[in-house]
Amino acid sequence: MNLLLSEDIPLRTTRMLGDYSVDAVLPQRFGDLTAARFNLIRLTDSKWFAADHAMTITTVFIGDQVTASWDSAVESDGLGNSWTVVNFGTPVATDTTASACGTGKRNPKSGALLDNPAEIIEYVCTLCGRDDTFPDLRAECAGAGFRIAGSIEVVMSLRAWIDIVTSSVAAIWTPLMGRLYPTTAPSGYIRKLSRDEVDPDSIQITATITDTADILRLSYDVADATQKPQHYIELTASPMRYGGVVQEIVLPMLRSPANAEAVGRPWTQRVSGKRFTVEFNTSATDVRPGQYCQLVDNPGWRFPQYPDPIVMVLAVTVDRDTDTAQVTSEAIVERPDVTVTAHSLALPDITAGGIDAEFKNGILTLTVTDTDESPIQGARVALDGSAPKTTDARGIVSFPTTQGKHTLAVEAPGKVPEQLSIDL
Amino acid sequence: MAVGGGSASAVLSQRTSPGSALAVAGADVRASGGRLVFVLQAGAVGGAYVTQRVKPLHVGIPLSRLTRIVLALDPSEVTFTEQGADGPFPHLISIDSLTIAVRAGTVSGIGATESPSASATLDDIDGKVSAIIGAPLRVQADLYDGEDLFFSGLITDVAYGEIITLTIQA
Repeated sequence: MNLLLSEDIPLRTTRMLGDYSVDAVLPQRFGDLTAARFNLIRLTDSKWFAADHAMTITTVFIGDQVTASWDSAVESDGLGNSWTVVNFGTPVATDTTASACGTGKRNPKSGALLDNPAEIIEYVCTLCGRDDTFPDLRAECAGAGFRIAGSIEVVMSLRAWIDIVTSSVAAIWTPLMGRLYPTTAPSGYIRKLSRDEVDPDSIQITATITDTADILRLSYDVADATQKPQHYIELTASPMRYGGVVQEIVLPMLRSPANAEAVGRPWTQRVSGKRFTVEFNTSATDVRPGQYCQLVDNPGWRFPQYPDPIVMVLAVTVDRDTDTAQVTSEAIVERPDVTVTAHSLALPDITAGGIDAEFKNGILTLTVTDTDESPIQGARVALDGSAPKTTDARGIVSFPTTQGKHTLAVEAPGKVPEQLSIDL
Repeated sequence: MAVGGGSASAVLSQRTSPGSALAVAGADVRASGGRLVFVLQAGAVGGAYVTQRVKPLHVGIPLSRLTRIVLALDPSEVTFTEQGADGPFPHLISIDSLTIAVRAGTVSGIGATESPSASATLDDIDGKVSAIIGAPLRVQADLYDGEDLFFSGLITDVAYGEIITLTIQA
């Protein structure tokens, strides 16, 4: 079996597990889903299906209520297939849904969680009998710390699945490559195209303002159980060029505020900055999409204030009769400053950690914890615009204050700053 | 890129003047000034010598530098090179122009288009190619442009004849 990109990912179905009345696709789950619920599939009233591989279940819900009456098990058929089920102590009512949180598929060799976008794509390609690899994307995502999470739970083509994964980190790809785009600065090998290699008369430059924004609002942390994003981040370019145009985008598998900022910042720079679509003919027929090229000393480039532009190649047509390549590329020549202007306040209700507040005898005591509930030392907390205080080793900071509504500003290393309202 | 694209066979067929039959087997190949020149022997076309310069093909280029298609046939891979190349199966006539564009799910302004397929033609006048490849549906095919893997996919369509056309999808 070696499937095309246009063919469906061969997910198994419940029919392959046994004689169950429900006929549903068996999902594959990836990454850290401990803060994002996914639906369980009813096999029997007390036995529900979680994933078509071994995974760890951390929390289980019946309806919207957390339940403690469950255990999980990994079953197998002796043919190399194993899957995870959740068993309930008492049967779940017929008209009730169940969902869960947990951590997804692990690398069978290293045991590490599959959460690098390239690694997830490569794994799903192996399900399709393919051996595609995206080493550049893998390295770039590892370097940027991008960890994504989500599930395949409906039948879709491999091409559509790769689109979903890559779009979650603003990456581009072809059957032969994948990489982040746009990066803040062009990285890696840059192919220099001398004036002899590019026909100056063929260079066509287009600047457009139809695909721009100076405020980018990214929604992320999409929960499979609700199909809705749980968080958003808003980034603004300075100075604004286009009068406050807002572009809203959902990144289906992106997780964590830090990742959202890392994806959103260069992306905002792209849509708010000055850039050109550059098309040209070149004798360098080895130019490929995803590659950075630099037009060196070419009279066809008409902007001396941006000399020798570096372009990202987006499309190539190689004409084998004339031995030339027609290239469509994009040059980002100015990148405005970008600031994070808003961030969703609400943590998902099942996220451990955050900020606990206690008000007693005129003293407000705040405990700042990470998502694993470990205390965050060194977080800076300001109450009502006062001078910030720093949390101690227990993650605690205190303020004398009064009853009523107050505003908290919280900053912590590696976290997106939070603005919170608190009513004492 | 030092290697000429196109194909000798394609040019030979262009040389066929109206009403004349051209015997490809009667062609002789000589190296001349770094270019290959096809010289048709007397009698091939109305008893006259016909000499025509074809598209430049650099002589002496290592096999790995040439445009080629590699088919993962069972039990071994077979490489078809352009005619005139120093390979065991110089039957590749042409690889059509191919556009590869990046895909992006939600990156606006970047087209989510991608050429779904490429096609290559092979000279099968003597039936040798069809005997080698058989019915190669779903066989892995890699198109190389010099050192670069230009396109990789599965064969999804085969049109047989004196010229075999392979359609390859990613």
